[in-house]
Amino acid sequence: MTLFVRSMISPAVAFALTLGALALPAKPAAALEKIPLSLAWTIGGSNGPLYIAMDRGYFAAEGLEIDAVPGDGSANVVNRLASGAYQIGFGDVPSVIKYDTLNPDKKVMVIYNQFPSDLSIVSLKGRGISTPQDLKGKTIGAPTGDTAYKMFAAFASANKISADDMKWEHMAITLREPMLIQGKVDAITANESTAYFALKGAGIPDSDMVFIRYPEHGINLVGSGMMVNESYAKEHPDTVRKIVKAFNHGWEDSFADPKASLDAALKRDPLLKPDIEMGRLKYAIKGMVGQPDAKKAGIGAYTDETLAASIDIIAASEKLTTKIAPKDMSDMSFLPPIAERHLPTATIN
Amino acid sequence: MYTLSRHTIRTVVSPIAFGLGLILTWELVCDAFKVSKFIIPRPAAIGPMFFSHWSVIWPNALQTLATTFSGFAIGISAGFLLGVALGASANLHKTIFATLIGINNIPKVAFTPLIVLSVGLGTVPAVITSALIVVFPIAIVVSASVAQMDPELNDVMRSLGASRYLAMVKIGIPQAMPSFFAALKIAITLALVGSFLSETVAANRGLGYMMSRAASDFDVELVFSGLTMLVVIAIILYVLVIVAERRVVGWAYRKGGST
Repeated sequence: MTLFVRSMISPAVAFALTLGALALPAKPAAALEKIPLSLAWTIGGSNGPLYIAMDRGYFAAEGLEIDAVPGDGSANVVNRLASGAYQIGFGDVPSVIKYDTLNPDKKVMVIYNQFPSDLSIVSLKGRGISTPQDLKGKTIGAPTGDTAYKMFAAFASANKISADDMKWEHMAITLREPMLIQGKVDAITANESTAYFALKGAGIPDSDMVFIRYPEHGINLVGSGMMVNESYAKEHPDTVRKIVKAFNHGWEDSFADPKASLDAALKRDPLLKPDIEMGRLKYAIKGMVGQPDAKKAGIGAYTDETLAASIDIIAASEKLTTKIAPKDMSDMSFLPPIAERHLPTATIN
Repeated sequence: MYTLSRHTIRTVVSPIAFGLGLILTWELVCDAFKVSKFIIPRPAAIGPMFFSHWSVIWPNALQTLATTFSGFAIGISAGFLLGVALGASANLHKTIFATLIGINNIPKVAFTPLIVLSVGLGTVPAVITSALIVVFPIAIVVSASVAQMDPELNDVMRSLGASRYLAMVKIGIPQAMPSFFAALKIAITLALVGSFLSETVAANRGLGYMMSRAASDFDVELVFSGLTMLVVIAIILYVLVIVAERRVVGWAYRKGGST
């Protein structure tokens, strides 16, 4: 039933996007190669870099036309790529690590580092929660596919608590923040940015939100990245290289002019709230620029040490019997030269 | 003896053979076209998973069955009473029917999250969703057939001094039973869909919960095992309704006629 509904929603959104694309001024008629691309979720501010790259013709200059289709969750993008329904997309890198470990013959490769994960336990003032130990005996809401929930075992063991110490309630991701606000659960597992903007949108002041961030409690994990079906990357390395190049250009432009980047995304979905989405975009940019790998190896790159640290955490919390090597789940060879992947000079607030 | 076995072939052997044939075709097609297991796993891969995960599937299936039955029972009781009332009173029908149709057209996908926010998650919203999804088809079918009560029989009853209530109980309701059971056959599978839907939205148990969790763990075989269980449950529920129908309104059908 929900699978059916989901499968109906995506074509509907794709149709709406097509209508939007038709309304844009026609581009000079060149035979562009059409690339279907899966977003992690519905269009949001953090997709600005992709859309500004499209609007400014960076993909067209490479002979490509991107057909971006909304996704139904960053973890499911891996399924979409593995099944061959899509060749390229944005998704959850921890899910790739798990998937590639279990399916070494049909892999998905991570080719671009967007932002690190911001997993967190989120609660509200007055619920008596401010440290991991406070969670004992509390009710926690967690969508089953949520990464922060899946990584909770690692978080728990790093903080000397156990998942058995609390009561868990599972719900659809859209109900998570409403149930927290209503008091049906005492805390939730979430990506900080997702929960923060959902709570803010519901009128909760910043000062009432409580975040117990995984990175501040010993769990540093990779987050969102661009990923590709391995066999496609082997057969079409030049196409993949061109996509990464144009996309990276979109990020560079977004650092320089977040407003223009946001507008490119807003144009695709008139229902988006500009101030909330601007917050999301800036949050994404800060995460991307602030991570150690960006300083060491340039924007978009993962170092093997970072990936290996995440692989250790995931192998432990998902009870994987083998540990995948970073080179078997990522390929940084499609990145443009480091000179084209520099950090922004101005700080973004 | 000869005719009996032909009857048996038609009602028992052919449906089973058709089902098995379909599964065999599925297997052969997957094999011939090398279909990825992330699109559709082969029955040969699902089968062993189905049995080895039986201890996981069974408690979840029981939960889904329990909520489906509760929702179905509440839904058909309410739907039947509402249908009789609507069929008996033209004024009531005129007043509320349009609103009922309107409410019925709100997708349950939109309803369930609201139910969860007001009553919490788990069993209760699943029962409510499943009942809500059942009420309207039953009420609409029953009201239509009660309203079409045979006017001659009704006149005879009334001229013999029967009250409106008695005429309804003796003529209207019995006459509506065949359509009521026809609606039940649709309603029972809808009830299952309702429970399942609610479990995917917010629950810690049930096939809906199990399958959405398995999907997020890339456990495609478990997802399909859950689907298989749903199909089995749907068929069993359907057969139960047919058995009940035979007992209650067997008079309405030709001998040997199909339902």
